[in-house]
Amino acid sequence: MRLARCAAAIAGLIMVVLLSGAPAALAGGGGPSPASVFPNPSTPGTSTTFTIDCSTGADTPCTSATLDGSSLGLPAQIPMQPGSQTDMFVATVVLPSSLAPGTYSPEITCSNGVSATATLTVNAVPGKAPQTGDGTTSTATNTALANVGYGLLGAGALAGCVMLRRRWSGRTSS
Amino acid sequence: MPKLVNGVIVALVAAGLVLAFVGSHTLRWSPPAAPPKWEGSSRTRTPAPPARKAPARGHASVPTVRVAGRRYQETPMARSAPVSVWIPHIKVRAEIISLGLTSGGVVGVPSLNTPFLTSWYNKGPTPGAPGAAVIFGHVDSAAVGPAVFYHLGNLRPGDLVYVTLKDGRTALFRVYSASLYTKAEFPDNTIYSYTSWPSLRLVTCGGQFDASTGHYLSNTVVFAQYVGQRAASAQS
Repeated sequence: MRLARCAAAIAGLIMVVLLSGAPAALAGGGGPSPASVFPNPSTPGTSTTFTIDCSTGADTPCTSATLDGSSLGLPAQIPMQPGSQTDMFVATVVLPSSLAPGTYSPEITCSNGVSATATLTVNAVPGKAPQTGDGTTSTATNTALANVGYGLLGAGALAGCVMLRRRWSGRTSS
Repeated sequence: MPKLVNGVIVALVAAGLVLAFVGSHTLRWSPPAAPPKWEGSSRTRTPAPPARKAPARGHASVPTVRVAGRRYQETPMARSAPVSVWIPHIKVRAEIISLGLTSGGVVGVPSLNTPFLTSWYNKGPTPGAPGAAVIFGHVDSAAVGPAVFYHLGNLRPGDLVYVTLKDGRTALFRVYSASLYTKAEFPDNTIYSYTSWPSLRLVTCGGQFDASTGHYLSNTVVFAQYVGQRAASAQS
């Protein structure tokens, strides 16, 4: 029983190692992916730079590289510019503003056969303006002042009534 | 004697009429201030952040700058959620809550019942980290009248904004532009797009109020650029 559990645990560990190693191995010869994206995460409408290191270690210099932008709603063959170092190529694209948020893996291919996928996370840009106010300061009238006015009107009317009554009562008594 | 009383009554009624009329025909508060036109309310104009001076290469390994008597490190910050904002020029000191998008795809804002809270768009970068951090606040609310960002339109280039993060550090920003945009022309990309040097946007409502929809027709947006950071306990 104990042996079986131990064997299962070891098998699980091996699976994890294999699975986590697999994408890197697929991407380019077992090392870290030679492709990178900046900024990452990016947003629709943001100019985003893809970089690839096409060096193989062997004597196979790279003369060009292309970025497959089709998954991003861009041309399928985007030529990349030579970068600051040998075998380094860069392309800066503006992500379409209609691009849906999510994770994208456009492929980059070098002329010497090296290829890699660049994993890019695209965050949402809120599409609508926020509603930040209910208009109170643009609509609320000066009710306090108006109420003082109504109070004065009432006081005036009351005083007027009292005056009239006095005048009449004065007339009848004389 | 009766003449005097008559005079008083006439004066009372007259003053009452005037006050009642004026009171019911004037606003209790003035409508929120809008940034001046020269800041560029046009949809085509994108405010450009000022060019940054290359930090002086001195003996210190970390470039610093002194602002308002305190020293700030000119290095971008690690990701940490913002907890409070202080804008001395308009006397705003407010808590910041973290909000994402509503189901309708609109960015969440605090409830009108908590008009002195501000909110940070948590799908974007944190203040002080590379990118554009965005903070929203109400301009007014029936509960209180003027709300937390009522005076936002009075901010001018050069004004300072301090944002304190959960890790205890403070990010300092300097305003470089302020604009009024109609909601139909709300410049999403200008506001949310990545900036390699950290930046901050403060957003509230403004412009004409449309009573038929219950909403303002425009948004006031203040653009600020990161100056530097300092630790909570650091001495100048």
